Amino acid sequence: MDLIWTTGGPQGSGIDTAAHIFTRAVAKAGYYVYGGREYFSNIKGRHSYLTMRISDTPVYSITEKKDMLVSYDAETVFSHFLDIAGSGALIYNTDESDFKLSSIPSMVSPLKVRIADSLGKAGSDITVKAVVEYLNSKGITTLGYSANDAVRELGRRLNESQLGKVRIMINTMAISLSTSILKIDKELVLEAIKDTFGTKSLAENQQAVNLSYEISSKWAWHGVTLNHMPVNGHRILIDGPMAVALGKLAGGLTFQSYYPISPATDESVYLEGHPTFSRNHSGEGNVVVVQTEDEISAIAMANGASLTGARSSTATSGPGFDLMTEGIGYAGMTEIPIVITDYMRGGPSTGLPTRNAQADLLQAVYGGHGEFPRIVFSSGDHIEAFYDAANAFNYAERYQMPVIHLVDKSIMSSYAIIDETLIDTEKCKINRGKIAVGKQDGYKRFQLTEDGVSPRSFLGSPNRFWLTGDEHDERGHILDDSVMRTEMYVKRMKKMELAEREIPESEKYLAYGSSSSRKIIVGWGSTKWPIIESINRLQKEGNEIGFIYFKMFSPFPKGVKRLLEGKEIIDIESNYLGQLGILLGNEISVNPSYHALKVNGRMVSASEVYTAIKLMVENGEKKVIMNGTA
Amino acid sequence: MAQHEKITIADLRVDEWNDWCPGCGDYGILSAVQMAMAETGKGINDYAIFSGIGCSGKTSDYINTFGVHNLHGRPIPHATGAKLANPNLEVIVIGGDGDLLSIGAGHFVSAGRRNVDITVIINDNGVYGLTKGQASPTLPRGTRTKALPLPNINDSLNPLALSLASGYTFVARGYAYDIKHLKGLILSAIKHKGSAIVDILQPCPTYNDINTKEYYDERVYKMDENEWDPVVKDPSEEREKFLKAMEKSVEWGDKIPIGIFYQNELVPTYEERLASRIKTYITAPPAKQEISYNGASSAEIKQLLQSRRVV
Repeated sequence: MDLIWTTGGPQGSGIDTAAHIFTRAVAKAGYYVYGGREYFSNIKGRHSYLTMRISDTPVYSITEKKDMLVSYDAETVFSHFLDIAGSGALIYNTDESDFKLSSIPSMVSPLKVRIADSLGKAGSDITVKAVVEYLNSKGITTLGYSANDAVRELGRRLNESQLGKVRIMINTMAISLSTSILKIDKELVLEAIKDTFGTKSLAENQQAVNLSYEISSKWAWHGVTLNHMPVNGHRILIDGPMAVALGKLAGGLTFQSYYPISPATDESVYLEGHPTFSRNHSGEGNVVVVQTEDEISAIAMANGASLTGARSSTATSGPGFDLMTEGIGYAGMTEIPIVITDYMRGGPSTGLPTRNAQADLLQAVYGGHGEFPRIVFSSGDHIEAFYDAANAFNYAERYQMPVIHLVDKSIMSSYAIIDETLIDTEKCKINRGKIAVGKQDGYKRFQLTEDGVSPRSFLGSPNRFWLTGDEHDERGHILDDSVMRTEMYVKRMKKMELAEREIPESEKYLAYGSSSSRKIIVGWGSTKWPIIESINRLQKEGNEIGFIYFKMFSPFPKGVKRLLEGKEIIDIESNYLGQLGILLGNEISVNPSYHALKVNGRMVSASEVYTAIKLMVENGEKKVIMNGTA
Repeated sequence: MAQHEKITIADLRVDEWNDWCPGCGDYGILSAVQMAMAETGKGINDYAIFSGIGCSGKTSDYINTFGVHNLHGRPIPHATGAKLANPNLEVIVIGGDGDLLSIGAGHFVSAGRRNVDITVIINDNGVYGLTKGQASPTLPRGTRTKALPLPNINDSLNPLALSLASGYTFVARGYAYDIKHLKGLILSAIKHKGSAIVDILQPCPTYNDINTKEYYDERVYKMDENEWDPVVKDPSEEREKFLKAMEKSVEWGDKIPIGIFYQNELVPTYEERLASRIKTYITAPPAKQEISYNGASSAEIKQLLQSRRVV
């Protein structure tokens, strides 16, 4: 069972909430859901849409062809009708049947031109009605309703003469039309509404849902239905920022600083909204979240907090990450454990603030003046993001260096229904690294040691230290001495060798699919599941292909060379340069022969990855640009 | 707070050769800071000095306590992070006028809005000494100190007026060559509940040949404690005392006042604001939480997960 359901509407019109209600209702019926949200950098009015994939098994990617497009505005119809599957359906508002493509002011012009070209007509000739006829000619089911009639009827039933108050329920009504034909019990939709809004306006919503189920009862739908399935245990609805935030709490975070930036802000806002929790055997826990004046201050405050022994971090996106570079170098020089979460958005400069990219990798690994040790790693789904966010602090404190956790925007803005037991804080081990306990005579914060790691001390503790971003001696005093410079430099840098030795291979990369195939795919971050799904599909078709999924980039897992040497490497990434491929060349002298790349800012779908692999493997194309908008 | 013995100025000295120029105002400021630190009753390990970049930035290296030498312009946010993570610390920021009022101006202004209980000392000498004498934000327009190729093209800013406008709840000016008076100001600033500014007029004997010791000795005068009461004791006095302080802050020329311009402890500190949101903040601040139990996370997030439960 696999169903792609999409809804859209003007940003700020409640489309996200409606999709939430739909997701919850579907989950209550026993299904897993994974869904991505695409939106403009805009508060109200521009087209936002969500693509939800529904499955009877856990799922972490989406595909392009839509089985059901649910709309109440013409822009949603125009924007997505070309992606409806042959066996799919469009639910649309007949009040807007005569709306013309050319007269939708919020649509970007190039998209209008592309749609007109694909139908071979002028934009002024393309109406919703014409689209419906086009879809019908392709055998696609079209199901129309009049939103105005529905609102009037609902107003009559609720004895509400101010129809504006009724119209706000149009989203709920639209999604209920789809749950109805999917045969989801009305009660589950109502429960989902209750989960979302509480009992406020429940009776009104109940009437709205009833009306939708009545309207759709007249429709003929012969496609997939979602028969209720039993659920063992509990399932939760989680999104990217929440997964990372909860991971940070589990990892011992007590101080977070941030400056507002899309799409990173949600994580800090979530933490700020949930500042207290209990602690096993030690009473109450809390996290202090400080909104700073800029990202320079955000990294500096997190550094300062870390010096007291608090586990601290900051979360940002590209432009903010740029501003933090000096502060990250300072943490490298002064051996401050610190975690920086970078939600990667489209750059350079302001770029595409609300869209996906994987183009900060080389900056994370090499950015900053001078040389300093750092750990750079990334996550490929929400569950990984949770455990990685927790473990990031262990890396930071064990090796006393900045840890940069890269999270794709498309994971950040995706929702997933997962089994609750998958998020388990007992699996989050805490390793605080070397700490000078008790008063130690002659304590030296930057003592030269075999492995490069010196016992830490905290501000306010009995073991005093100095600390400086200048080169320094073992006590932390400024010292410009040619011999000590070399010794201290080597001490800092050799912690990277220690990290490389100690961190298990399984935390650095994972191998999927065939290990003996001549071609092997490399990828990281949000492309993980689209690639896994594609190689599984190819395997079923008789094409064995391997996939090395990378998690860690600094220190680079050199041991992976034995899996890649002599293979034809296919590099799949959301950037232009093939940055992971560049790292492979730099670090282990292995270079990709094929690239499938995407820079349009939309999340990578499993179907476009599958198509790209086929083009490379079967047609021998060296470079495929993916341009999906699923 | 930890038990400690009474500390002396000698305890706060370090065995380092001090590489400031002879006659530098930094020496007087260092002494005044150490004298004030010895009088608060706190222990050596209770202090944390956060310094900026430049000559004054080395101050943290010359005091025998926790000394954190920062990036240029960033001592305030580093200090703020440390203080909020461990509010028991006595945190002092020391930076030059270029560090705090130019490259770090955004942080300087924002710190006033927060009113974190820290002390900020501005070593204000009108020049960037360590880079060989360029004009700093407090050097008046038209002034040509000896390393400038042409007179200063920018207007100067007024650190006291900026502090008041930013919301600092203790604003004072001292003079580096009146160490005893300066010590008193710094002690009051440390004891003040909230963000305190002490702007210290300080000759740079090497690069500022205009605002010299002789220049200041002739002009600096102490505000008469009988006539000048800068302390807000009731909210009704706030506006009047703020405006008087603002007016006083623009007095400059033949006579330059030093002393406390404004003090208001009625404004809640950031720590108090946090404690009103997070009941356990004071008893279990970020630095003092037991984050693990038997080697695993002690955080119990079950309730947060359950609030996201769908089925």
